[in-house]
Amino acid sequence: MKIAGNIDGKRVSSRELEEKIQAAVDGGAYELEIEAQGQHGIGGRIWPQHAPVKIRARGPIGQRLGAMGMMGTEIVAEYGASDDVGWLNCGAKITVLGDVTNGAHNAGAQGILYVQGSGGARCDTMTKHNPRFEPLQSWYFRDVGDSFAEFKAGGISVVCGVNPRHPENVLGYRPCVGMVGGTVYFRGRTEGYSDKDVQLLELSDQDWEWLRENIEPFLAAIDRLDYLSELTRAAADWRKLIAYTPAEKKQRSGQRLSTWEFRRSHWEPAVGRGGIFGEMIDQPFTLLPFITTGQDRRFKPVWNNEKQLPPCVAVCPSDIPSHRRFQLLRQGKRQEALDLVLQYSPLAATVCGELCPNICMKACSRKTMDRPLDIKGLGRASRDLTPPRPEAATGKKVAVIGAGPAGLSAAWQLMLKGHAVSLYESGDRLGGRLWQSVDKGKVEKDILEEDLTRISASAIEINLNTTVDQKLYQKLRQENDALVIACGAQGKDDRGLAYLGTAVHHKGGKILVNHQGQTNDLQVFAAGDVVSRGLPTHVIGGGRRAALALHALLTDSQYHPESRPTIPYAELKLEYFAFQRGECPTAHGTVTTPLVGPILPREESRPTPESEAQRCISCGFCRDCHICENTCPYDAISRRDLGNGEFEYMVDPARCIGCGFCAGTCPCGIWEMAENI
Amino acid sequence: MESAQRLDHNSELTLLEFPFIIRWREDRCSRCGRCTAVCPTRAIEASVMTQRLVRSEGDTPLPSTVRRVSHVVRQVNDIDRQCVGCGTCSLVCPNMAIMPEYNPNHKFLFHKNRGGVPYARGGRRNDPATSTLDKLKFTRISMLTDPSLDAGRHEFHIRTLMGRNLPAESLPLERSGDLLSLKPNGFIPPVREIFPIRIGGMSIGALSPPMWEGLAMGVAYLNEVENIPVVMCSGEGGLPRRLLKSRYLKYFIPQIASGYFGWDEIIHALPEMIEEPAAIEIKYGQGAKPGDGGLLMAYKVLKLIAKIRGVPMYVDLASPPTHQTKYSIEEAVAKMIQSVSMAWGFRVPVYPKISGTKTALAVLNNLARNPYAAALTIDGEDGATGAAYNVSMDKMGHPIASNLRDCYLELVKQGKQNELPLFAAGGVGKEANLAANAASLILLGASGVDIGKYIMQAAAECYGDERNRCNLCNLGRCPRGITTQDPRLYRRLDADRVAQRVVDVFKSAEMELKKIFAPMGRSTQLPIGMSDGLGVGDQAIAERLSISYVC
Repeated sequence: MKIAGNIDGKRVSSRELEEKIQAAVDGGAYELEIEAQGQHGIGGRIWPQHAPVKIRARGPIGQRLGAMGMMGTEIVAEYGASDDVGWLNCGAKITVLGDVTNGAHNAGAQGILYVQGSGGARCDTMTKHNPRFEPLQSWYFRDVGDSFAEFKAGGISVVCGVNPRHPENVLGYRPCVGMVGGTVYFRGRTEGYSDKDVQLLELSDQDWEWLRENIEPFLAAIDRLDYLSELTRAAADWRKLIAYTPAEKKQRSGQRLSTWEFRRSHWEPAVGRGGIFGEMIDQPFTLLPFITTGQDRRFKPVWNNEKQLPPCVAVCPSDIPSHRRFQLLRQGKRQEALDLVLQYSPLAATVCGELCPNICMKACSRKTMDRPLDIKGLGRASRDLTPPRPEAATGKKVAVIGAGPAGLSAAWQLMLKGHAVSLYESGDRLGGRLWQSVDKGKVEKDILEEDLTRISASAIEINLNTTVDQKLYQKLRQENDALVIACGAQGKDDRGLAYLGTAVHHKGGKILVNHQGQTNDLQVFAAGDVVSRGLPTHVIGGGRRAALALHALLTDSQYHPESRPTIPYAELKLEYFAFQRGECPTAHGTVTTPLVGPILPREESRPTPESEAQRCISCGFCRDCHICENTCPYDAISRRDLGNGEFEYMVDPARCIGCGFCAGTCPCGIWEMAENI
Repeated sequence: MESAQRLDHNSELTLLEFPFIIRWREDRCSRCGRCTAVCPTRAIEASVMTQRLVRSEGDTPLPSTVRRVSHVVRQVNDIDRQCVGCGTCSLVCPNMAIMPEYNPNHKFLFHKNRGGVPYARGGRRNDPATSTLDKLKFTRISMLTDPSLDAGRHEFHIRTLMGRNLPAESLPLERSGDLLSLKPNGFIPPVREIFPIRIGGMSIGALSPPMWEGLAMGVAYLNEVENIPVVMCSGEGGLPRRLLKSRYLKYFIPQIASGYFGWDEIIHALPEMIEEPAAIEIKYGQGAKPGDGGLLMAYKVLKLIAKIRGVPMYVDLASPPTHQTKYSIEEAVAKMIQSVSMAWGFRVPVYPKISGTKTALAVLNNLARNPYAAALTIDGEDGATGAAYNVSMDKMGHPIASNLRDCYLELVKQGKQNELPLFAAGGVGKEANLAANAASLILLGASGVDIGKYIMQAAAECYGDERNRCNLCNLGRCPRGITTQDPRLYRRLDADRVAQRVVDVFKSAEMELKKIFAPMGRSTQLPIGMSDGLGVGDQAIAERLSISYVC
């Protein structure tokens, strides 16, 4: 049956032609000859009922010949065909005895396309393979245009490469981009295929068998059987392109040159070993973890024992180390604890125990918890003390003028340092104005006497009833290596200091001294009320400081007055000492006691030195509690016994990570985290 | 006034004043100390806690008390040790027991000026609001109207020109037969074809050795292995001699700024150079801190930096906001461009970088008249810096979008839009949309963009954000090892990995640029100034930028 695309010189529209074809097939026609005149979609969408429907099309054929073609439809285009031949082909067999232009078999899924000539651009793109049917086949006798088989997902394409337009590249520019399935067989050369998507392989025996079996019908259909022997000469003439599997693609993408390899192969050969900074950096180039030890820590713990002063010592004019006395008490060394005070003051019982306003207690850290330690009690307990042994004799002679608290303090300290001390007092007893306190009932007479007796029994040469006049002063000045003037408060008219003549500067009854108690005569020091009035506490401290400065002068050493900083409260961990209420009365009338920890006392119990020693926080002074040793997560801290009750805590840098848990949990504020330089 | 008693909580700050509050879970903590060991500001420390519990264990109320003293991890309420929210504690915690939490109600800036010293920091403007760049969208998507392209299948050539690009008729060429030759004394300005996203100037010194080398190596890799011609500016801290003498120098833009750090070494290396640098950047201003100079704090001036820069160790290095030999714009810009061009025989593009400012047009007009000016880089207020006063960062500067746009439209008016390239910087990739921000600026008229902070975040896991997280760059305590010269910290950073991430970032940005340009039908030429491709859902922005308002 013939169907014309042009009737009486008038072109039949694509719609009308399609209606005629469909009506003819419905009427039982199975061989159609169509004279086309550019009609679209000829031969598609035909569902043959019984026998195959054969369509021969000639004339100018429009786009999409055989589009949506169905199984059982056989189409032959007698000359060439234009774009999109076999578009969305679902089974038609289409033979084009000429060239096809762009987009042949685009989105095709089943069926066969035989092309006697070449394909245009974007042929065999988006082709599919539905497992219900045989795979689609596209055969091109010559070659194909650019962008061939893009996004191909299935089906077989064969490009025979006979008389190609571009012998160097029979598959056109950049074929197989995005191809994920199917096979492309081709004969000849290709370049620039998408090697990220597909791989180029030799044909297997099965490929070759399939090709030889199927090429004959193709060549027969396009009337080129004379090429059979040439095309089936050798499998080696052919190649195939197949898509990488997703797994293969993933593996291949991981094969890129690592930057580590780039460093080795490109970078360092050009810039030098160790990279661009290699010659300027001494550090190793290895990576460090975030958590480091040894030299690589940012901070390191330092056991700063006694590097800061407890408040009690910081405020004491005589620097009496109450914290050390409590430590000795905790160690059970009561006598040593009490005797220790004599290193700092010869009048402990009188002053610390009675006359001193005990500013140490006002400063005591413990007051923030409950009440300050009873340091006055420690003074009161300082009876029957064992006098300390003076240091080896220095051969230096010092005279001290005045046996009041300042003079006694200075003479005592100088004596302890091994100097030959002679004390001159115009009165008939030691103690000076301390006796006024006895008269006023502020201190028991026997307490003062005990302290004074100990001084009298010492190596100090005591000259009572000896008024120092100008003559004696000059004699003392000449016979001694140095003098300490502690002659007490003088009238403003300076008459009391007339014996000094012009040798020592003074004004308004006060001797002028520097901060160490030194006068303009560098060998003469002054202390006590003759320098400035103060409590016995302060003049004892002043006497001691002058004596220690003088000692430094006599021994060519340096006197460093106590200048360590006071430990801030924030560095102490008072939480360890936090008390809680004691017994809990209950409805049953029973009383339970707390399970752990110090109890808030209901009644003031009588403090003893021993009980106070337990309450002492030991500010800035290691109380040897082992908290740090136990806290350290890395077992980096250990305690070393130095003998004689001395000890130290040490850090193993190989274990320590510088976390600061030791510093953060130390009750006494000893550990400090220092820059690890 | 000294208190007789222990100071209680007088004048103490509550933790609610602080920008980050540490959430610590006692039930999970193993007291391993890792968090306190790594905290860069020592904002957390071990401490001791006492608890008192009243218990009743019988079947009737029968009270008894328990006291419990335990060790805890505590946040310090010292303003100089404030938690910066970096989260390194949570990074190293084996038990997920600790984590800083942002406190939106903080009052930190009321207090952060102890000793009369204003707050200084690193990072960028603390403004988490969406930037103008991120409000722009690409509204011209061609499907049927223009040939639309497929980023996955078509070939793209995402490149831009850095250097003065003279129109054909202005080229000093003469024709003899079929041959073109240079006219006597003719000068063709040097031009480089580069990837339109550059790595902006971050100095050796501001950055640690592994960070700088990682960036440099990544740039070399991109050029040599991936064929993406990314270039990188040195920042103002010189370049190591080894790099100056290597063939990789061609990928680098040495920066000259008012401190002139490292320039004697660059000049000494001139005879030994086997390649010429990509360009030279003259820094006049920095978008993050306009009018404020560069400053490398003494903590960061260690041996390496002292050597490269030729300065003593442990001194603050100021790069003043102004060049001392700069007297007027006409004279100053011209003479800087001349001098630097001469060093390489006028074969290297030389361009100035200024901070975003209302006066940018004046600079632009000056450059447009200067035949040796290769380009202009404008750095907007959202740029970052290693160290600046907070006030300079937060409150000074000009956003890049309108500044760049004004300059581009001015060039259009003069017909020079294809001649003098504009590079835009400052906040590109602020919210991680690197390619989109870059493309927006290109459509507004930029020939390319610079990134800095983005690459630190993407390539080295920089913690910084616009809620002032971390931002310790100025103190040399960078917990990632990016902006520190302390080997204990910078050895945490793996240069090879940084390089790898630089490669990743640029490869993916290239793909994203393709995804943006493909529907516009652009594959070989950048759509510079193609502002009809842009839209914005904000009438005011649309008007100001002369782009379409869409809703």
